[in-house]
Amino acid sequence: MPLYECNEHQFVENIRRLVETSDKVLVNRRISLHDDAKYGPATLPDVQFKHYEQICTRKSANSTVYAKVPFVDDFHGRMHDVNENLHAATALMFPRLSIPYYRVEYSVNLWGSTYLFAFDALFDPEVTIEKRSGKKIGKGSLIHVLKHNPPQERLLTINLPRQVMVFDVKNMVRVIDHSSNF
Amino acid sequence: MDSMRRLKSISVLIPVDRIQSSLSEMGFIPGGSVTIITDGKYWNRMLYVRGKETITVSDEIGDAYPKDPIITICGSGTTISKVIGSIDSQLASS
Repeated sequence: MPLYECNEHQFVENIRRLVETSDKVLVNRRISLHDDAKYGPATLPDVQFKHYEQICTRKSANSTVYAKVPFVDDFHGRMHDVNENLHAATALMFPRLSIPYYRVEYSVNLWGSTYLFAFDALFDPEVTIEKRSGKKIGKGSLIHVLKHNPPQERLLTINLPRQVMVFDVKNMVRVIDHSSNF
Repeated sequence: MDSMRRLKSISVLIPVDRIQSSLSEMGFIPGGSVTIITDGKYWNRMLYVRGKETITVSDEIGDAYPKDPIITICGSGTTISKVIGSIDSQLASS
């Protein structure tokens, strides 16, 4: 059973064509949280890296990222020291400062084929200065805190008309169809 | 109104700021944005809302050329026609 990947434009237009020819269309949606070090600050485009510039520095995209100041990574509960290597240019696949994200997958099954549109939505970084206590920083010290806020759900979803039913699913298990052999 | 909502997605070679100004002229207000990664590229996905009608504009981040933002509309047929008309007039003037 083939699986076809679509971009947003192709996927939405395919659904529109289905809506125009059917009464109801069923779309499966899967939204899952990941924090597997797939994304780090070194590989971010400059526009996105600006949100980290209060605490990190780099020469350009894909260069090593260092901590400018000591800070607490609130999402992972970790403390990073000044000049600490957060994402090495020689190890872009393995950032020490990982950016969490939602994996969003939309799929439609039609005549045994699956049409898939998937994207990753990064959590929004927010840098604040807060009073924190810890072994390295002592009691009640002011320190930079990096927070990663999840994006709003309405930004992750594709708004669809009423003829389209959206089913939320946990996982998509691919089944091998042997029926055509008989 | 909700049952009359229709779907349309357009990919156009128009700068995103011109699309945004057209949408605000039509009364759509920004509803936030998110950075997404798809096809190995970074995109800024912006939401615009007017009542129950929504439009998302996905624009590739960086100096990519050609830049063709993806506009996805879930709204009335009139809104879809107006957005397409606005895009057509901008393409004709550029």
